[in-house]
Amino acid sequence: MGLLTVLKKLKQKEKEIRLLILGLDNAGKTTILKRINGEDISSISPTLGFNIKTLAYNGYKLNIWDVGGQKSIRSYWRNYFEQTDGLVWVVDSADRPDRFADCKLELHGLLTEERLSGASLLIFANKQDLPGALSSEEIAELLDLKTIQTHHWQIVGCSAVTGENLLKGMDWVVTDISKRIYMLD
Amino acid sequence: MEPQVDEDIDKGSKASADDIKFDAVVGELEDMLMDPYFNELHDSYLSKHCKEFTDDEENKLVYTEIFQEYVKLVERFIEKRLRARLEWFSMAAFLQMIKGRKESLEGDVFDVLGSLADFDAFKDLMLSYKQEQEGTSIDLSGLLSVHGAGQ
Repeated sequence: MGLLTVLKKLKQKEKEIRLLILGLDNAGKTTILKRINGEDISSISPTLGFNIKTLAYNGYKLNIWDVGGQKSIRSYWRNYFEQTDGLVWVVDSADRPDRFADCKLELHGLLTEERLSGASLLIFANKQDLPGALSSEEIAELLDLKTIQTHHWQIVGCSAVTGENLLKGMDWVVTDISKRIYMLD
Repeated sequence: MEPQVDEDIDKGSKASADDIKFDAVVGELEDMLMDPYFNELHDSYLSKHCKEFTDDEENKLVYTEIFQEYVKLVERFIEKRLRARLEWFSMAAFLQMIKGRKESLEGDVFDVLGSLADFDAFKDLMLSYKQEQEGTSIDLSGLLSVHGAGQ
């Protein structure tokens, strides 16, 4: 971190947490973000760039970054790793079977990134409201989550459309992060 | 004010040497913000890139590259300038010093510099520049202080 970034951090008045939402295209990242932020989710189109929301949550100021997941832009994800406290990996639980291999590969790739090494990992098994959606246990199996030793992780089945379990996931990730970075205060 | 304690004199003189250095850097940073050369560097970077920015809610990926390059540009400028003017200056030592004295960072100069590393503020600044370039007249003279004005 250079001078300006250090100053920005030192000047923070609130306890801030930075979350990065990633996942394959059409997983529902932006819908989750807007749903959490209490916005209309009826007309969301594929994200080609990124969205940022800042919201107050349980006494923390959350800065949530949501970056598009199309294959052609995944190489840009690296520009958003810096200072990430929590990675939220979103999965379309009703996706085509062949996409889960890609999903697993991308996720495990991120876990080797040094700049994400301290981040807590929340996996949202999204779209639980759709018929044919796999359960969070099945998603955990397909993504080989049990082999993850490098990060605190948790998987939560949810639906961005109904709002089911979104807060449960957010609670876990915020609590896990705050234990780690704000316990010393 | 704490009374000076004699037996603590070594520690005390170390602290005051640090204070003198810290104040010298703050003075240089304040001068820099007023320096037309710095402002020209800043303005030319913003006016060169502001055309990319729109006030859509979704941000383009290129904003991040423009922003990260900007932060590096300003940081490099500051470091070079401080080293040219204060022969003992070391950025690593200064960063270490400010981490240990959060309470001394109340001045406007730190508000302004810290705000330069804020993406949302940067996007707003770019949009103001764009409006200005497109002829919607805005007084630019206050831009640098605008972000410090929250204090």
